[in-house]
Formats: sequence, C-alpha cells, structure tokens
Amino acid sequence: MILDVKDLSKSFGGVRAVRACGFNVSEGKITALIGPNGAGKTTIFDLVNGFLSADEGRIFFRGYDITNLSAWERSRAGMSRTFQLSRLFKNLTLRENFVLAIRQNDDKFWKMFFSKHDEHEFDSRIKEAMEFLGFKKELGTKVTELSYGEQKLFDLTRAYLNPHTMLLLDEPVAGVNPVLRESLKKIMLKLKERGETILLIEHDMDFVHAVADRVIVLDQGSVLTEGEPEKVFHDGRVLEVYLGSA
Amino acid sequence: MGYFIYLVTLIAIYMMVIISYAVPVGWTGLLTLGHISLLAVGAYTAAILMTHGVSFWFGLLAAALAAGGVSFLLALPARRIKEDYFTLITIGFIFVVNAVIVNWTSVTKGPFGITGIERPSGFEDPFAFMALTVLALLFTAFFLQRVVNSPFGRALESVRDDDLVAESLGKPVAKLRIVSLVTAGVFVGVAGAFVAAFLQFINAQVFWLDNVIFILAAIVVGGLASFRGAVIGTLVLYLIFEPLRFLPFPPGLIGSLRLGTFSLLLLLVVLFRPKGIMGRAQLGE
Repeated sequence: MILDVKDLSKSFGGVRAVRACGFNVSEGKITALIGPNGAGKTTIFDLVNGFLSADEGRIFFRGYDITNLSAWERSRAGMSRTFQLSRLFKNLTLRENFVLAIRQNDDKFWKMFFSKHDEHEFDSRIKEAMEFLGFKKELGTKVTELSYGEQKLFDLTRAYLNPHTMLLLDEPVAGVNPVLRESLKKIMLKLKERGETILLIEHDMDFVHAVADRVIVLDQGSVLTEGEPEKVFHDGRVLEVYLGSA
Repeated sequence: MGYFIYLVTLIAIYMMVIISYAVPVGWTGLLTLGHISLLAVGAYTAAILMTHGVSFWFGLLAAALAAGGVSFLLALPARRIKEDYFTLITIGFIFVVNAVIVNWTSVTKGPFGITGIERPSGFEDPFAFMALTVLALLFTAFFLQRVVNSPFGRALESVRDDDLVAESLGKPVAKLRIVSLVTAGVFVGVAGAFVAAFLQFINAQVFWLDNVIFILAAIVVGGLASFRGAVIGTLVLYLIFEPLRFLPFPPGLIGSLRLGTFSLLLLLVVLFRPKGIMGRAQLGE
C-alpha cells in the first residue's frame, strides 16, 4: 500500500469532523472516498495533503511517517492534488502555471539566479500531458480566460504534471456537463492503465462506480464500510446514510 | 545644474527603494509598509558608523546587513499569518523604529538627528556622487531583474496568486516570503546609506509616514510586478512632486499638498486602474 492512514482525528472547536479514521490506498488503484455532506471527506483530504494538521493519528506515505510534514514537503514526497473549485495562478498563463507545477527546487535563490532557464524548456512534456488528458488550449492563454469545464481539465493537468506518485482529486466531475463527465471518466481509466494511484472524493455515484477499484464510505468522520464498488453500493448501511432510515 | 544633480540623485535613491520594495509587494503579494523604516535602519547604521570614522563602503555593507537582518525579523510573522495582518504588523514596525530613533538619544541623537555625515572619498563632488548613486541603482535593478525573471521569481508569483496551490505544488511559501522580504531589505539598506551620505544629515522626520505614501503610490501607479512600471511610477510621481514646490504657498502647506495629491492619486488608481500603468497583478486580488 502507498498510503496508510491510522486513527486520524480532527476537531474544529467543539465539532469533531474526523474521529479515529483509518484506511489505506493501494498502489496503481483508484480509491474513492464517498459519504454524505459533512461526513469529513474534504477534512480528511486536507489532513492527508497537509493543509490541516491532525489532532491525533498518523499518516504513512510510501512507508514514511509524513504526519508532521508540511503541505509542500508532502508534495515533494509525491502527493499532487486538485481542488473542488479550481484554484488558479490567475495572473499567469497556462504555460507559466504548468512550468510551476513541473519545476521543483525553484526556491533555491542562488541556484536559480546563476543557472540558465527557459520558459519553453518543458513544452514537450506539457503538450504530451495535455494531449493525454484531452486538454486543448494555447499555452499562452491566461488561465482566467478558461471556462469552468476547461478549468477542471486544467487543474487535473497541472496536478498530473506536478511530479507525483499519488494523485488526490477533489470532486473531479462536480458541476461539469455530461459530455465532459464522460470524457473525465475515460481519462480516469486511462490514468489507471498508466498505473497511476488515485485517491478521489466524489458525489457522483455513477462516476465512482465506473472508475473506482475500491470505495471507502465515510459517515460522521469515520469509516462506515469499504470494499469493491459492487459490494459497497449494495450495503444497507450505505443506503441508509445517503437516504436516511425508512 | 545644481538642482538637476540634486534631483537626479534623489530620484535614483528613491528608485532604488521603490524597485526593491516592488519585489515583496508586486511579486510575492505581501503589502509591507515597513520599507521606510528599513531605509531608516540602513541610513542610521551607515551614519553612526561613518560619523565614528568608518568609511562609507563599510558603512554601506553594514547598512545592507542591518536592514537585511531587521527585515528577516520583520518577515518571520509572514510565515504564518494572513497578508492583511502582516501589513498591520509593518505599520506597527514604522512606529517602533521611529520611537527607537527619537528616544535612543545616546546613539541616534534623538530628534536633533545626526549631522556631519561625509560623502565617500573621491565622490564628495555632487556630480560624482550622483554618478555613484545612479551606478548603485543600475546594479540594484540588474540584480533584482535577474531575481524576478528567474524561476525563483515565478515561484514568488505563485505565492502571490494562491499560496495554498503554491504549497500543494511543493513551493515552501514561508521561505519564499522571507527571502523576498530580506532581499528587498538588503537593497533598501544600501539605499539608506546613500540617503545618509546624500543629505549629510538625518533625523526621524526623513523616514516618516509621508514617504510611505510616496513609495506605495509609486508602486501602485506604475503597476505591481513590473520593474518598468515601478520606474515609470517613480518618475510620474516626481513630475507631480517637484512642481508643487514652486507654487506660491507657504512652505508648511506644500508638504500637506504633496501628501494629499499622492493619496488622491493612489485612490484613483486603485479605483479606476487597479493594475496601474503597466502592472501584471493588482493589490488585494
């Protein structure tokens, strides 16, 4: 397994958003975190990614304890994520956004000052990724000129270009039209074929059913059940947390 | 001719401050107002040393180190707090530095200021000193231009546009903020040594709030994240600034008139042209 989350807890004031939550993610598989609103999915994502620090519990990534690492250190350890609402470096172009994702160690002031660099040096890598993910746009375009659907693809492409061993995708099909949803489904399957490890949050059950190898159901901050989609979607407890008891 | 030399020297010194200040404000997105006080740290460090027999060049080096060191301390809170709160801290910093200058009389001579500061040997002549100042400005511009045009500069822009995404792409936001503030601080310190040698007299009044408005207005009018913008902003402001001195008003009124003009200009630009003359970003985006 690539990610092992053990007994994670997080409270905000008096509200326990995550309580003794544990699960793991296998390499080369797509794992989906599902659950009703307020189940703690985004909080767990932020805890795994390092945007939030856990009150209790440990997180192991590729065998290393990363609980005390910051978000940028976890990114350099191999985690790359997207956002539910795409977040952009809004004054920059597509190329500039993508180069920022690819280039690591650009915080080395002196190294950068004396070494030669070219904004176009990663163009072939960027074009390959855009082609693979079906994102067609001029690299000189300002990101603010992208439509909502294009922003979703852009966010995925940027996360894909960021050197990683696991992708964390936060609601990749939220709010997109049915055509893009279908193409994102195909993209997920292509990513799986390439051996990508993906942990995703999603509300769209058809999408989860089509792409996920394993589903983890959260309720009130802890794992209710987990397993293959077929098994999980026929579990009475899952229907109950989604639809309420009869 | 004397007035022209005076003006060019003054503009060159302030341009040094403004293009340094442009790095954290324009590229990193940290609205710091404390640069006038870093200028004071540089000027007082150089002036105190130079009036005790130390050469201008060592004074210059010490000014750069002192302002860089103080800006490091000032930058520490920027690691964790929101940008707006950091701006408030830098306002507090202006008052702290002013209080130190006014009250630490044994070192700073308090409200009377430090007099008798000499220009570097070989550059006593106003024209030679002007040439030296312009040279220092060109070096500052060359160095900082290289910094912001490098991948490091692009990483600073990512912090400005969205620090959370920057973190998620492996950018150490806290470190980038600190390095940008310290780099700017070092060059502002150098400018401080030039202020001391140029005026040959400094007191707390030279580094007070009216100059904060002037520096901020130059950056915002010229446009954030643009060196050319910062240069043009400085020149535009001086074109407004200087003719005011020839108006037939009492001298006491001229200062207030300048401050009012800059504040009005700042307000108009923020309201109607938030990216300034040639900016790449805008305040508070």
